[in-house]
Amino acid sequence: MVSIQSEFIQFHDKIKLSDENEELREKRDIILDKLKEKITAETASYTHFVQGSYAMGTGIKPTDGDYDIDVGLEFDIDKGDYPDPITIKKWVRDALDGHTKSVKIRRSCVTVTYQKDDEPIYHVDFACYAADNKDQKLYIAKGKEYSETENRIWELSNPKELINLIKNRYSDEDEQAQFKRVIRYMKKWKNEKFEVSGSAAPTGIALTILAYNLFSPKYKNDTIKETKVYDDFTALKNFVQSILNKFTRHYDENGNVHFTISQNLPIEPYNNLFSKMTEIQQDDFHSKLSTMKSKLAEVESKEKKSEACKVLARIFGTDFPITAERSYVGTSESA
Amino acid sequence: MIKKYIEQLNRDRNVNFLPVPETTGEFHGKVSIGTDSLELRISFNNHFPMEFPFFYLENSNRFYPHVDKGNKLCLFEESSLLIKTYDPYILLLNAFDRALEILSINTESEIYKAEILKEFNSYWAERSVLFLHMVTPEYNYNTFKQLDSVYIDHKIVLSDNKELSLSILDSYFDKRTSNPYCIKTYFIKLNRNVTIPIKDVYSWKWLRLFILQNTTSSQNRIFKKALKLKYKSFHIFIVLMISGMNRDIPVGFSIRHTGNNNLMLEKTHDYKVTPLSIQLIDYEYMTHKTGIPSELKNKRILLLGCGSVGGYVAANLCQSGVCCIDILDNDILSVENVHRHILGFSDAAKLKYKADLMRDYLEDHYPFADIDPMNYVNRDVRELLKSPERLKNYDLIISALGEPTINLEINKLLTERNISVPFIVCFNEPYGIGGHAIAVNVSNGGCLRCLYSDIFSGELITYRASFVKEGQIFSKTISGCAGSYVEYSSLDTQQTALLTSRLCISVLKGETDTSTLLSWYGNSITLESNGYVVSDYYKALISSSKYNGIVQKTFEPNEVCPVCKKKHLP
Repeated sequence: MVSIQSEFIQFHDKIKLSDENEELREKRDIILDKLKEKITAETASYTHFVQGSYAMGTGIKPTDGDYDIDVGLEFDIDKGDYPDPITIKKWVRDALDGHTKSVKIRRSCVTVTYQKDDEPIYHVDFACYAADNKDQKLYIAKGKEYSETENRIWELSNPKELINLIKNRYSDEDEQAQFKRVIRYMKKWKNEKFEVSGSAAPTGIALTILAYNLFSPKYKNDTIKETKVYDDFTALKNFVQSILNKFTRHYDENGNVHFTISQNLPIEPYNNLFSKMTEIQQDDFHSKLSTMKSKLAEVESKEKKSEACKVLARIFGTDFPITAERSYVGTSESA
Repeated sequence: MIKKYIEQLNRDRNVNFLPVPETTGEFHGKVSIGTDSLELRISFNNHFPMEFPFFYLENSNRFYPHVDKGNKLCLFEESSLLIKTYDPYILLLNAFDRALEILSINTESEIYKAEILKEFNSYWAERSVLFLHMVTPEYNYNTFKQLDSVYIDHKIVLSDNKELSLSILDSYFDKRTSNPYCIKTYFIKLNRNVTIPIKDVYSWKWLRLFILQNTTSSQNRIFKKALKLKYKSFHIFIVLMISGMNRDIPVGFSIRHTGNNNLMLEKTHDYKVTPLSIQLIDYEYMTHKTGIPSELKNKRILLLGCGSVGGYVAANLCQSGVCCIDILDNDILSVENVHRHILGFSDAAKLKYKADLMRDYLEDHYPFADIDPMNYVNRDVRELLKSPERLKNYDLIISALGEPTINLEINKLLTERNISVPFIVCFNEPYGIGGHAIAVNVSNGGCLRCLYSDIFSGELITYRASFVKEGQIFSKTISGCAGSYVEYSSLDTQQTALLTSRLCISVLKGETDTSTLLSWYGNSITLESNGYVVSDYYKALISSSKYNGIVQKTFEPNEVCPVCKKKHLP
């Protein structure tokens, strides 16, 4: 097959979003500053930290400009003193209510939507934690304002450990970089192939943890340069196959085959990251992955780079570059 | 101070050296060698103690090795010594002991004979009146040849044939005539282990006898027949080949008679025979200091491109003893080449093909160089490649074209047609960042295409071991497309040529049996200041060495290389 590593790298450069991204930081800081300014003195003190995909280095740019910014707020409280976790979420909601476009208490976070002048709309998800507990552990405030009491809980959570786990999956810098690239490719694919967000699509963290468990770095040793040369295409192809292998096959009463998948978080609370997806959605996930797999096989059969790129653009969208064939290449040789 | 050293020497060696009256720094004394009493003069009128004092033999009655015509003893080869100048007395003592050691060499000993041979050339040259240039004729233990030495305007050349001698006189001494004067020359190999005694005067009678006594019976017969010939007057040369320590040494004599009588050579015994100094223009003699094996002499090389790198490679190879090079290049040397090319302004002014000019240059400098500038109507390499079978005629093909497309085509032809001639490719990279020499098509290892193959797909990519990031264009132009060039200096070129030449010789000697890549890398200052970017490979190399270095590696076939893949198909 033709070599498309440089196209993958170009593609990755186009889609990646790192925590170092200035625009992202600016947007986050606007809301953090507002929170700091407006939160009343009666509330407990807090510190913030970045969480989510940006913190793990697996973020991709949003297609609509609505950045999915995740920030954790660690309040210096003992959960025992606040039996209703919604109290904490309300501190955040009330501080920002009226000062932003909207503030909504969601099950796991407080979502603050913001728009400055005519700039594109974006939101920040604040996860609120009780950080000063007797057991030294971190608990996330879960539940909505009008949820039943049993759904308003402090749930054990360790976002920083998860971040560390992902950030340090490979000790080799280049292997870690390929790991993160492949996660981003999968996320981009998800955005392209799953029309609605919510439970219809696998979550970013589900794809990330699948990669954590199933991805394997792929490279060849260049004996001339004495370096490793990374092969993202094969790494991705192998990863897709490994996810497909993880599905369980079921037959319904009509003899039709269905596929389901489960993947637990590797740390507490070890929940199944696909539990929110219905069986039909999981089946759909399997079907879309199978399509991707056959398209990747098609890429392998192409003898021209442009043809291979076109197939990849059908998988990943127009951000994947289509390199035209060139009969020549610049050389540095002379005598 | 010097007087004190002499007094100390007198005490330590039980001698009695005294100042020579009316001189400064000179001392005279006697030493006993066996039964002989020899008079020595020690002179400090030199750069003592930067060098050893001079010792002169005052009353020599025979030949002593290491004693020159002026009776000065050659004590040490000082240029190969590091002298401890801070201890002058030890210097004097060592010199004295060495002087005695030299004078004590027994005339019958093997050492004496060896020393004489070692000294012979310089001793003979001191005493010679005539000077003969000789391309040693073919000979064996039984050789007795009657040849003609060709004389034109004080230059004399002897070789196996007159035509060659005339050609040498013409090409190298600028001497030519339609009617050259020839001197009859007897070229004789003496029996093994014969040493020629060093004498102040040699007589023809003695020489005749010496030859008859030290040659084989068949040589004797021919010589005796020659001695019967009658001459009114004559001038002959005799060249005797005597066994030396490492190689045979030619000893020449000039015998001249200008009488009116018809005399047989054997009857003329009263004429003084004079030493004839011989300067060899033999390949082995001229290259023996280089340590290069003579096998290079018969190797045939095809050099494609004799631009800046190729020109130096050709010169290096000829200087190293390679004789036969076919050079193909379709460029004319112009003045803008002068500061990168081995040829200079006077050649550029001729507006001739580089290959023709290189032929002239190499054949002028190296008498055994046999250069074919392949001056066909079309000197384009691509024309040559239309008949790839011709590549089989060589022991080595070198491309200094700097054109990877053609180089890869040659590589493909050699592999596909199973032409097992080693192929070396060399080129510079821009702005002093480095240069490369690559040997392929040797017994083992990858081919050139392996270095231009993407390691996953085998697709053609730029040179993998490049020191610059791929895809950059470096050529500049002064006057339109025809004048485009890439910047690099003459030093860069010479560096690349040097590595290439070393690799060539290693391949020719059979020392390189696996595909090899030899690169040098310089600093990136100029390259980067011109807005270009180095490769990751270069960065990795310089991480351990800040300035520059050389890297050598062998390489195996790239499993996805389309050329190697084809080769290994059943």
